[in-house]
Amino acid sequence: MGRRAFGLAFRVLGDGSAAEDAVQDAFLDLWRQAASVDGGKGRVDSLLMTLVHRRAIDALRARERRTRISGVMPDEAVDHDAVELFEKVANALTHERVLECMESLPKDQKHAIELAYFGGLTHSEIAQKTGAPLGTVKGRLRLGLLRLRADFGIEAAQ
Amino acid sequence: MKCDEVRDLTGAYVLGSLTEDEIRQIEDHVAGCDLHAEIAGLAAVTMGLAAAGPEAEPPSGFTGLGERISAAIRADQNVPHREIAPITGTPIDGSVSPRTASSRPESSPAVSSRTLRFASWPVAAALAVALGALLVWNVALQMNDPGGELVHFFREEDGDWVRVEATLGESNATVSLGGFEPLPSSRDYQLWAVRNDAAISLGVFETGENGRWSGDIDFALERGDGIAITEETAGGSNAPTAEPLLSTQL
Ligand SMILES: [Zn+2]
Repeated sequence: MGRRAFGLAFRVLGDGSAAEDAVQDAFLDLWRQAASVDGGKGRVDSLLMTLVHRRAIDALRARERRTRISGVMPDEAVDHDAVELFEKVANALTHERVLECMESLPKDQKHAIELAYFGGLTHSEIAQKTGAPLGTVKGRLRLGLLRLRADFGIEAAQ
Repeated sequence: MKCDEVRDLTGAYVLGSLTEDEIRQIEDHVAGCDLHAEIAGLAAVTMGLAAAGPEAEPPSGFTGLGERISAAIRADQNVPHREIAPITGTPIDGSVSPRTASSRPESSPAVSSRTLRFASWPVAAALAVALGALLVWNVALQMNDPGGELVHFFREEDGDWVRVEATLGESNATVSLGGFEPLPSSRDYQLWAVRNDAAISLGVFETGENGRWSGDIDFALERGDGIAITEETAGGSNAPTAEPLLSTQL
């Protein structure tokens, strides 16, 4: 999980030392809010990855002088139902499998999801950057994720 | 927002690509709408996306990064860090404790009933195990409360771990450990407390097929005591005869 956490931060920040900082901050966040986390390794894993993502996006936005990610409380940011679903498929979702599923998406959907998740862009920033209308961007994000939901096996688990 | 408008935004919502105002409106809406199920499914997808990061090595290495994190957590808790001393010297009582710590099957230490005693702690004891298990590097985490209760968790990079729950100064401690392959009948694992460079036997134990063991020890642990595990001939030795397989300090 440490490797996965670092890989995510590195993917977002593209810089090893900034990624280390993000991972360290996320572990500290997790440690400090431990009291509000109810057990379960799956839940802690998901929370950690959510925190790593948040810290990495925060750092990216700070670097690019954009606004901080909206302050959703981390323990609320992890949806219990989502964690339960994810746990059913997590073992099958290797790095390779996730990339394979991403590759099979229509290019514009894949690009929009990457800009949002790894680039920390809002839907209007994505619209600006890609020149696509806002409604189209929303559609690409949703349709792309719906397709991944099926490819990841989450739909079948639901 | 109406259902249709919310539905259009579920993807952007789980990806964190909305404004705070939009987030609030969506959360208000889905509290009473079955779109929550779609959102849960898509949120699970984003958890999968987290695995798309490259297999990259941190500049400090994984061990270095792990040490940085452990140090940051200790600093956050004001828990002093001590180097772990190797086991040397002679045993204080010179005798091997009886097998008070009888083997018993163990499921997961996180669900041990003793954990419940710590439910009121600022930090849930169960998390120490969960946190340690997340790490691929050596990690030692410790939680203390003013009443002298202590939970110490130590995990080595190779996966061996030990967890000690104790009331300091009282003969009241439970040790759980994992990652220790079952030994042939001619050999036993031996658990030691290390105090002032002397190793005190806490007993011998055999692990189950899952590599785990848990038991109560009849010894009053103090802060600063070391805990170590060696492999010895069956029945145990008066003093450690080999380098510890694992050692950590409370
Ligand atoms: Zn609705």
